[in-house]
Amino acid sequence: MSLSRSIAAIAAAFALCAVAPDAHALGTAAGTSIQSTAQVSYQIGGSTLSASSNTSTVTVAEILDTVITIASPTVSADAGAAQQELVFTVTNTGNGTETFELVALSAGVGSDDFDPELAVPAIYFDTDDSGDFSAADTAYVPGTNDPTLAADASVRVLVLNSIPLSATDGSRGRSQLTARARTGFGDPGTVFSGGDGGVEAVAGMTRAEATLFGEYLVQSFELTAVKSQTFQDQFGGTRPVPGARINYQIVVTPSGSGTAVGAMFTDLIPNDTTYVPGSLELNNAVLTDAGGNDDAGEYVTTPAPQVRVNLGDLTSASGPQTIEFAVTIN
Amino acid sequence: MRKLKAANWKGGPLLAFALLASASVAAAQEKGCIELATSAEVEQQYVDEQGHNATRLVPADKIVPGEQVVWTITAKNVCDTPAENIVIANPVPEHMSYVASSAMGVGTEITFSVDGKQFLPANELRVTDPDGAARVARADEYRAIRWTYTAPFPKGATAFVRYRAAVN
Repeated sequence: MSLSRSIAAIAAAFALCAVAPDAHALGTAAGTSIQSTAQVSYQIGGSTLSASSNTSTVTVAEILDTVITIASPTVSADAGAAQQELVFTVTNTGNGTETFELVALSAGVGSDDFDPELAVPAIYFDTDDSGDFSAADTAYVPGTNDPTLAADASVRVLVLNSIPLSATDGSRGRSQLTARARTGFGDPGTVFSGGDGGVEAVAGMTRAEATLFGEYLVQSFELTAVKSQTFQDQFGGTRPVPGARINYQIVVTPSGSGTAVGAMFTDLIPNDTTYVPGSLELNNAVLTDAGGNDDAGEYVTTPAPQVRVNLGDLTSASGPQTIEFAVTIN
Repeated sequence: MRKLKAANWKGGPLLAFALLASASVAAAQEKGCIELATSAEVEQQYVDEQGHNATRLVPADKIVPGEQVVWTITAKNVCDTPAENIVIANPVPEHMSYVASSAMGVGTEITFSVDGKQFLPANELRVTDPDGAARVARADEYRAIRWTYTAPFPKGATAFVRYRAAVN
């Protein structure tokens, strides 16, 4: 009995809307000189004269701000799975070029059901811009390859966790990413030295740091199959003799949360037996042996004789699926 | 002599001097009678001696996008003769936007311009959108401000005008 299941692509059941702060700060660049000179015209004894004032100059300080957004606030994961990623984007919403320190945390983040376990290393840059964790991605090493972002520039960052085996179906575990300006962070208005081009730097409304969590939703979806058989010989008995018929019944039961997308049932015809044409049924409805799109079932002979039934997308609400077919003993 | 124009005077002070009948007026014109000074300040909240929250202006040493600068232009008549028809003009600085209704100046009529040429009161200043529709100009579209004094400045008189602009 082989039951192939395709539950790799479990869709995220929770389509949360991320309300992201405005990730664009259209501000005058740090270090810009703003100058003003006034003019006056007047008359003395009938003569029109004019004059200019001094030029007053103010320099735009660097404002330190950052915002983090997340691709999917909730991602599905299996208990025991390793290197599960949350995909964040860190944006420099200040008006200068700034370097950011990144910190990941999974222990005790908010009111979740379990703590994911940070991978080592836990933070990667999405170097290949694939949107997920892949071999080409570069690990983040604090102080060594801190991301340096121009004003309004952003970088995609992956936080990797493993999911404890003990995490139960439907439970949630949070992991968060923090980005902090290396020049300094703190209450809005806090002044730091070392801004762009030697100007002072000022913490903006974001305090020059941002933190955002993502959530793993454990979906321990299972398909169980129970197979039974009955014999029916040509003499009216139930002996497994050549020429006797074997009626198979397989009950596939989905359980847990999540969805098995495009679940496909296949079962090889046993050696020394022959499939009984037209015997394939799903939930007591007869299926044709032909392939194609006429119905969910088919009988094929290559690479080996087998019956196949497309069960579609299964959830626990779908209930047990009963498949029946018959063979005769050669 | 009274027909001498500012442009001539600016272009050739020595020539102007030679043509002047009155040496004292000539001297005044050379160094100018109205001295003009511009300063940039920001508002700072503080607690005064009575324990009340108060606001004061401090020099704008560092400003950040969104912050407002208070620009003050001070004019003083340093001559012995009265100065008439005094008009102070100030372009809104690059990288800044004028803050609506912030221009003030005692004894002045204040007009604005979106092109630096035509100056009108705020409610009469109009712009034409790309689709051809005319509308009243927004404060952040003003590119220059003009203060026209309605009375002469006597000897030694000092006055100031002021406006706010926010860093873009």
